Amino acid sequence: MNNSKQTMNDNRILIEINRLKKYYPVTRGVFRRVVGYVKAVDGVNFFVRKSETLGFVGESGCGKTTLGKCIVRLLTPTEGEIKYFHSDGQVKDLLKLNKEESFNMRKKIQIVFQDPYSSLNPIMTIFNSFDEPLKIHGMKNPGERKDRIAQLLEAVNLSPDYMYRYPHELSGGQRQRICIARALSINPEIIVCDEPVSALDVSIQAQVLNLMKDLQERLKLTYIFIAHDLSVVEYMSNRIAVMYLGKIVELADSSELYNDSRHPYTEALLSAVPVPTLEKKKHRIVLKGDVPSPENPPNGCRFHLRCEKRIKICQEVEPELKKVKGTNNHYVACHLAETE
Amino acid sequence: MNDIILTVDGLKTYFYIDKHVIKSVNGVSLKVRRGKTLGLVGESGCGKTVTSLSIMQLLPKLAKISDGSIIYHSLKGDIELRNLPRNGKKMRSIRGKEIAMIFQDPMTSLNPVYTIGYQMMENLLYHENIRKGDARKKVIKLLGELGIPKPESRIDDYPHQFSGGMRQRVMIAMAMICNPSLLIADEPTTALDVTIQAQIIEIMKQVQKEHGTSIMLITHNMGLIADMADDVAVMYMGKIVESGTIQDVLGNPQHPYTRALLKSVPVLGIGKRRRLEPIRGSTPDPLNMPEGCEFSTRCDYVTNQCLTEPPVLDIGSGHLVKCWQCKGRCLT
Repeated sequence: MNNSKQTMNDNRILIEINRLKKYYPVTRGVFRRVVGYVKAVDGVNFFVRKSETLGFVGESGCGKTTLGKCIVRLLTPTEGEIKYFHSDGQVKDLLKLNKEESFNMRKKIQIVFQDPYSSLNPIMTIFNSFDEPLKIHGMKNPGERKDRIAQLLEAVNLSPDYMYRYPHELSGGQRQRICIARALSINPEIIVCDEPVSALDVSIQAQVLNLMKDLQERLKLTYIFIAHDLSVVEYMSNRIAVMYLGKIVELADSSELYNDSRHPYTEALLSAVPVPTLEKKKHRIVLKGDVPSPENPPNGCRFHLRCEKRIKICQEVEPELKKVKGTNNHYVACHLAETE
Repeated sequence: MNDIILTVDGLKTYFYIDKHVIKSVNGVSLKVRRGKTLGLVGESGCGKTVTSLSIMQLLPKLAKISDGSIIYHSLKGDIELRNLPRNGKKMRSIRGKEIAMIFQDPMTSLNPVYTIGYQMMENLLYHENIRKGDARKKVIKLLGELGIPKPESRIDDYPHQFSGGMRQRVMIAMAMICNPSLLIADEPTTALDVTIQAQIIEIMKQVQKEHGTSIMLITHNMGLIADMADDVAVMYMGKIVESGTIQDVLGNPQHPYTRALLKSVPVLGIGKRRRLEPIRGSTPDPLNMPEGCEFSTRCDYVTNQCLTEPPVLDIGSGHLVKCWQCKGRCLT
């Protein structure tokens, strides 16, 4: 009995996002008159379980980074709610917190950015970059802080001596490991990883990806992993959400998404990734044209202009994200898919 | 007719900075077959781009080709490109007309203050005896073929009015407009999304099929190599460590670096079933290269022998490996 409760608790939902929207105003003229909105994220719903990795893929401009920044609240969403489930059963909407609660909640969700060259302050030593968040979040004793920093550097396979170096003395892979260690410094529950390996060389990518997996296992971390490279996302994630123009078009377990994708966009995306094997490839679906502007998305299904399977209804009615018939947690937003 | 279009032999391109010498390309030999694609693969800083710039004679002033030969086997006979003055008449008539290049970043390699049409016609008017009106027609036709919608009105647009994928298509069109025999594509899709990358790959394949163009494709993406190349050369720290046909190199990789590189990238569809095996350490400092084999500091099979430069071994029908480990085991 006790045991089953434990496992249930481990798989509990940690964060739930409902109808999240982020619009950027487009202004024109001397008076900065608002003439329209770029709908970077336009009504996104999903949840993340404890210690799982939820991957987000999509092309540039589909809103994945904006979504990540909204979750860490570096950006304030236009609309929607971000519900955080505490281990004691309390539920808090992160967008309706007072100052103190907000301060405490920031400890729970941290972010690792894409570019390790610009996300570390060049005039601060690594020690200082780590020291500041620790001090702010209540570790008063300097000796204790130093020990903690040494411990964190060791956790990402770096020698503690590195803490007195400046970022320019480190390679890209080392810097990204520093960024990961810094995100870990205040024991967060969730880490939003925004393209953490796309700025790194191929031989270094694997080091960082494996490190992140090991840390997740050891510290029971929850990742929201954002990347444009499908093979990287597939390697890292338990579940994958495919985004197109500010919306989730398909969400499924990573193996199911690969073997049994239902959305034409996911199919095209999967077939477009070149694979380094000699085997004969599946037929490649080449999409025509570019992603439409998020300022003025097409009516109906946002993908219909590039979709080969479109029917009449696709141009008129926007499909909703619904569960696929006969599956557990495979969701798709397409008129052609058989949904419940 | 010779079935090789370009032979690079023992090319050494060094950069002279202050009192240091950086050996970016340190003895590269490769051949591009006529009508085929050679993939040159390697990490950043391994000298892929410097190799291509050496061929095009577009090196910055700090760099000098200190040894080796670059022979272009044109239809009118062999030309040693290294002996031509870089801005001389002969080189200028080859560059852009016979050997053309697509650069990595379509955002910065188009001039923002000229229209697309002007920039594309420039090449054509320089190299060919053609009237302006005809040149314009040719440009419109080519843009249409490469999938730019409404080319007759888009030709007068400026680069900022084009999306990234369209700009890269313009770059391809620009390189292809004089119908070159050899196209050097330096990371042509790195700045683009996967769906756009798929479009560009298809276009390049189609162009090759229609015009019989030879392509030298420079990339760090093994997947792209598997998709497009007939021959592969793997480069590490200024040297080619393994080369051969795509079947040889991908199907039967022999150099520890090639093998490690293939094991360190996630492959779609295999996902979590296989744990990635990273290459330990990072690439050595170009000013402080390890003695002997460049890969020895990161190699799992390193022996004392590796402190001396390994020989290039032919392990069967042109599959070349530069490693001590292959001796005896596979050398024919």
